[in-house]
Amino acid sequence: MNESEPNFELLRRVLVLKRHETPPPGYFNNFSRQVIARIRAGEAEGPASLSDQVFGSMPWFIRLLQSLETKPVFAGGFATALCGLLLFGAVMARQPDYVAQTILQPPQQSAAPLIASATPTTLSSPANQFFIADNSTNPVINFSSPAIGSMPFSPQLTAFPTSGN
Amino acid sequence: MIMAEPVARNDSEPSAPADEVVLVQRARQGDLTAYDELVQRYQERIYATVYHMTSNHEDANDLAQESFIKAFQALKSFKGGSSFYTWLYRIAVNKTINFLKQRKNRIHLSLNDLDFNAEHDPDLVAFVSDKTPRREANLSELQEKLNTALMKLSEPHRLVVVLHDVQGLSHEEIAKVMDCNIGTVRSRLFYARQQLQAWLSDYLKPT
Repeated sequence: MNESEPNFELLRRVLVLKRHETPPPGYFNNFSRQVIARIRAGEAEGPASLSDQVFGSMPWFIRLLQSLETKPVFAGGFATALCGLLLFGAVMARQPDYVAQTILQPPQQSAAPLIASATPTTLSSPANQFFIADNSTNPVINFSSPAIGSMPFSPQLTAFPTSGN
Repeated sequence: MIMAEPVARNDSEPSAPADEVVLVQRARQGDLTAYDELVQRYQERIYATVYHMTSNHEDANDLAQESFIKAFQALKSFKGGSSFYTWLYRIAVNKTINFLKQRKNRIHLSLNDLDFNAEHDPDLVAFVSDKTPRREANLSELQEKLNTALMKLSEPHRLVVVLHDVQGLSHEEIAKVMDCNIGTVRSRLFYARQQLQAWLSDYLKPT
């Protein structure tokens, strides 16, 4: 890679044109004066204001503002999200009773046990009553139920051999 | 007047003149007269670098002034490890690159006029003479095309071209300003020239 390759020679000659671009006449006469004046003005202002100090110590906040400024899509999305949040807040604020009822009111006691309502209709027949437990302390199958006696089999205790496998 | 005309430079870090060291020392102690002298010494080069990077006079004016103000505020942190000139360049370049990143895709050219000497530069006249493929081209049109092509380059590539081919800095000086190695400077320069050559091919056909 030789930078003085002849094929770049024409380009380098064109780039010379840039050196002929000059600011308005007398521009540099006042330049240093303006710089010094701005430095003096900055010193006269003294320390930064409280807001400058607060926001200056939060670079993420500055970056957020800059990104909102430079990216319209991001700014639009941010504004939409903010509007949505406000709308949601307004809607929820109009229904305080509903929220309070949902959260605070205890569930109503029903007259019948919950299991009755959950029991399929087929289980309500007398032949299937042994499946129904009255409460959690009773066995699931009540062998003293009259329905057991009407069944073609009777339960027996069985011992299975544990050896000789 | 030719802005920031390149001068032959050594590849080694130029030693700061003794009076510059004194001026920097006085400016660090708050002497604005000394700093005024430093500003006058480097204002043209700093302005030219920022201007060629932005192709906008108003932006260059603001950024160059802000660079000098920031340099004055940061003088206490200047340890003298590099020359004041390199340190100042670095501030201006970083400020300009940050500005350009924020202003991405919103390029607005505000070009300075060409000086009187441009029309008499034999190299430039050749590009707008009857022998060129684009006979209707004139210097102003070429100036606009050149600036548009430069603005298409990424900031690091544009900076290398500006500092080397326009400002005349050596590879080593550019490496110090950009805080990278010389190989990177060379490769960026090669790539940037290739890009520019492709975009300006209408003007760069040999006669």
